[in-house]
Amino acid sequence: MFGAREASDSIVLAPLRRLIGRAMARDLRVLVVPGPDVALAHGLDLVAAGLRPAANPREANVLLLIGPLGTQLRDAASIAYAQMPRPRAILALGVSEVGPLPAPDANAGLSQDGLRTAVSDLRGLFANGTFAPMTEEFQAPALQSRIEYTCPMHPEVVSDEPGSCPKCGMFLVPRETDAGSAHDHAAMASAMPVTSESHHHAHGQPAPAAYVCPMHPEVTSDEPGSCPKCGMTLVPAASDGGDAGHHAHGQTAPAAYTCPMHPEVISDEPGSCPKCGMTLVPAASDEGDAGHHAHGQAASAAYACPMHPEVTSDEPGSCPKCGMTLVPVAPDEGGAGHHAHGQTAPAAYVCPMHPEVTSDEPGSCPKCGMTLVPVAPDEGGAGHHAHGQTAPAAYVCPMHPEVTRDEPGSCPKCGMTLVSAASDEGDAGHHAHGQAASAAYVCPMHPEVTSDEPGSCPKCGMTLVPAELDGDGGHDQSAHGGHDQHDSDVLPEGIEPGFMSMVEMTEGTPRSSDGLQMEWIKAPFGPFFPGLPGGLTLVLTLDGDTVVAAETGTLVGLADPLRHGPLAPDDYVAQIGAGMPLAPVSYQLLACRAIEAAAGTAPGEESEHGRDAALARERIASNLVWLTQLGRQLGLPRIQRAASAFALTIRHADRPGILQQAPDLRRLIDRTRATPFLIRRLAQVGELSADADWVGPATADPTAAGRLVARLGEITDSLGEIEAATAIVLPALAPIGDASGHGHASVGTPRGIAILDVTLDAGKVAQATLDTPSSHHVGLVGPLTEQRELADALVALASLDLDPWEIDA
Amino acid sequence: MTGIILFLALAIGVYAVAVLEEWATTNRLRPAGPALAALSLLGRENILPRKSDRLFFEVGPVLLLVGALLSLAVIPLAPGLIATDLATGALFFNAALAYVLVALIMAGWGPDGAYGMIGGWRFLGQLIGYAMLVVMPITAVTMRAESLSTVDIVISQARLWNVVYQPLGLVLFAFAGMAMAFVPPFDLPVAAGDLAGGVEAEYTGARRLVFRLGRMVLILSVASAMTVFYFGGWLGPWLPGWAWSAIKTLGIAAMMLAGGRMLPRIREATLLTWCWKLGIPLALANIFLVGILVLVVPL
Repeated sequence: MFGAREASDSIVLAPLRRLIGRAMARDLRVLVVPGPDVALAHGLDLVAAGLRPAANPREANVLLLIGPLGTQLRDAASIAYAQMPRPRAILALGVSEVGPLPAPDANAGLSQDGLRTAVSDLRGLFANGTFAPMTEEFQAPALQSRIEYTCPMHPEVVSDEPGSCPKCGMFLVPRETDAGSAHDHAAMASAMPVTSESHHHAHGQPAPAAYVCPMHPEVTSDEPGSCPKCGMTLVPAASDGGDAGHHAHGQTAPAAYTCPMHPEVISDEPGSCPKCGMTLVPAASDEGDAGHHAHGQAASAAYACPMHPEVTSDEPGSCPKCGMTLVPVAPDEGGAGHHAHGQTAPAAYVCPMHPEVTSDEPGSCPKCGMTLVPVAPDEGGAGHHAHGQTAPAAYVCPMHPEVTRDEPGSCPKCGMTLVSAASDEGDAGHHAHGQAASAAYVCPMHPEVTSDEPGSCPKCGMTLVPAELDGDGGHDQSAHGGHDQHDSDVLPEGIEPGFMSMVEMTEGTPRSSDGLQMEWIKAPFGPFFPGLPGGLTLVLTLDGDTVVAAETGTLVGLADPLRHGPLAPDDYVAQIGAGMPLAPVSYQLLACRAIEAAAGTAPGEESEHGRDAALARERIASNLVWLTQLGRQLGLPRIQRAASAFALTIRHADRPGILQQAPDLRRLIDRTRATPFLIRRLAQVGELSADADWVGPATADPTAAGRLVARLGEITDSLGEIEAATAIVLPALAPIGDASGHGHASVGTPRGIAILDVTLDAGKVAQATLDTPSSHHVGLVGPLTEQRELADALVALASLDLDPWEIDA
Repeated sequence: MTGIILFLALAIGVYAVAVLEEWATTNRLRPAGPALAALSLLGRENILPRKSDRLFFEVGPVLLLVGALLSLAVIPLAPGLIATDLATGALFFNAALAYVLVALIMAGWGPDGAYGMIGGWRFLGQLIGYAMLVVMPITAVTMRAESLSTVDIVISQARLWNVVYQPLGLVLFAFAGMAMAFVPPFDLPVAAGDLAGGVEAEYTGARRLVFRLGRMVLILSVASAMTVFYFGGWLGPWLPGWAWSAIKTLGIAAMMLAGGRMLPRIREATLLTWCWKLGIPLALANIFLVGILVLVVPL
């Protein structure tokens, strides 16, 4: 089963291949399943065994399985294995079941000795069998996909075989789809960026498609061909059950003819356009208007031409008039429909730089001379945007509108001073309004700086500019979307309605908080991502390198020991410990305490102290594992090495052993605290809000830096606890007989307070409710990561120290 | 003959840098390490990711190597021991290393993977930070030498090395050079901990070997440039010139590689802030100071 690399038996190359094989045997890079932190928790020293951790499957040649592994984890591991370059091998420690992975090349028990022997077996394998004339293929079932064929023009035409489209006769093109439930492409490096739009694309299935002449919209056909008037090739036009004429509908609801270039030109009779002389084309006169049309589309996703807003389609494509690619328009209530609508009826135009400058006709801004851009009227998109962003906050970053604070300060992202934002329901217009009412002069850069007299800004030194004095005047000019602007008479002529406008072109596409449009990608981080807990899955939707949304999950998850029925107390304690590989002692102690409370027994005082010492020891070890992960994530190899060495020795050390190491451990803590820039770096990320559901170590500082300091402090405190105790006693239950009752206990696990309620029934554990710290903390991932830069988001996530085994799958 | 000597020097230098790099990461000095790793990479499968942009994917690592090698062409090892003594050597050094950005963007884009792509973008952000700080300290160095030739720059330091004459420039150039060679703490584009290898992530086998080789040459190139610009190149007592060059270059490479490991990885946004708010004003001050020194203290 050894995944050797295929090579023919060549005498010439044989010595070189032997050399390569030997080199590879001494250069084993390992991808750990579920993760290096789990290896540490099991006391496995990978480096001492001669393995070097790999950052991703592409770099690895050994897949180390640390068992037992659940189905989901094995599926994810099979994807990682499929991504590893050959020659590759599987090393299983304490794993019984590996499918869908091939049989392991080396097996051993879950111990350092087992690892050492297995690695030397592997070395032999690599030295002699790196190349083989025959190799076996491995296909990860989770990665399997099938090819289906679809018509480029008719996405609803899907076939399993190549052929031609029954509608238009075009050749079907191949397309790849998931074979089955390959939803979680959990593993790693080859994660293909998925545009968020591509999801939409699948939706908007058009009804019958029509073809239309780009020059003569009245010429439509159900089949491709050329225009009988001008001979141009007909272009496809999407419409819901009708001809292209439908598109032009709404501009001219009661009118019959309209100019293809100037939709505002309408006439009851055929003729030519007074503006450009083109022949007017028929427009529909029944009740159906473009608004309706677009409405119907908006439910799924609608597309419009950036140059010809009247051209809408419910699938992507190009404009039949100008050939430009259609851009998506807002799928919500407002957007597309109203928009297309608005061209002639109550349309508003606004200056891109001065939102208070609005007009109901195209023209240029009286302040800056920029061409006004169309906005959707009242319920429409753009207005709402500004609205929603600034609503309840008092201060906002001029560059990052999502950064809002109740108090003045500077932006955590860019350091700019926050500026005051309107805190009432008002939008940008209201904002200007509020200031204008009182102040006469205002700083162009710092709107909060106002003065009754001319002068310069105390912040930036710029000369103050006069602000609208009159409150009402300000109100009128404010960006209300311009619905009551009918009295405005200053109307420069000559702008095509729907000229190239960024506002329009990008309307409805996912909008970043900074207002820039970028393709969003979804990228998996985990379950084997270096620097994150092994087994934790994290799917980030990224806008550039800013996190838009984070989905967290686990491939291991909380296992209920009672799922097969009541258990004897000893078995329950053993199973709950086995289900928490990262903190077994804490949960065993928790179970013991809860059962003892239910049975009414109590351990001796001596043993209670010993148990606390055992808990303290696990807390030290667990915090050191976390420190190791932090060192790996932030690129601090010295801290990483030292912390992992301590984590390995302390987890099973006795009291004298720990006390002997205590001075060195304290030095490590001091060195970590003194690491230049570390605290400053962490202080910028992971700030918890005051009402966050945080049950971990108490901190005065709610940032990631605070949590680092708190965990380091916990190590010191726990060392003190062990010093005070006489010995370390692992939790064990005294016989409880046939006791029945209800018991409640809580334990300060390394990650926070865990609570267990058990019900004993005739000496057996019948019911148990477990509340783990990570199940609280997993809800904090969203607030801590969203709208943060990727590296910051990952550091913030790591600072939570989530235990994937504590989270409900 | 010069060519052969230079090639050997390059090979030994790159190997030594690779040993140092492993030492900085794992704290173990394994002279055989890079050889084993290289052979092992040669033996591995060359995976071409699905949906990759083949051209970019293949060209990226090669371009990185070529850019770094070109920049080394103007570095003198000893009097007469230089691939090409261009009159515009100091400028050429910058020009050649401008391709590092292109190479990384191509290598990041090529495999159509999120990690690589983000790694490439991050390096772009990093470049906007460090680029000025590579050029401006070199400006001060050439002001003193009154020449852009790297040989003249070394000779200009005969009485006093630039490390003493313009220490501020050295500090700025060292940071910028580290960012340019993306060594820690500026290794965002290829960070293991927060990007699973980033730009490097999708490369396997021989392609990865070329990428890593390119990176080692780049580190060597930045270290030798620091030697030439600030530490008097081949100048030194007792030992022959090439030995001084080698000692200084490897010493600087070791300090760069190990020193960076003391700091947590620095985000490109932070780097931008440092570079533009602090670095560039300091670099201007450095040019001004050196200008005065050149006029007032004829050394």
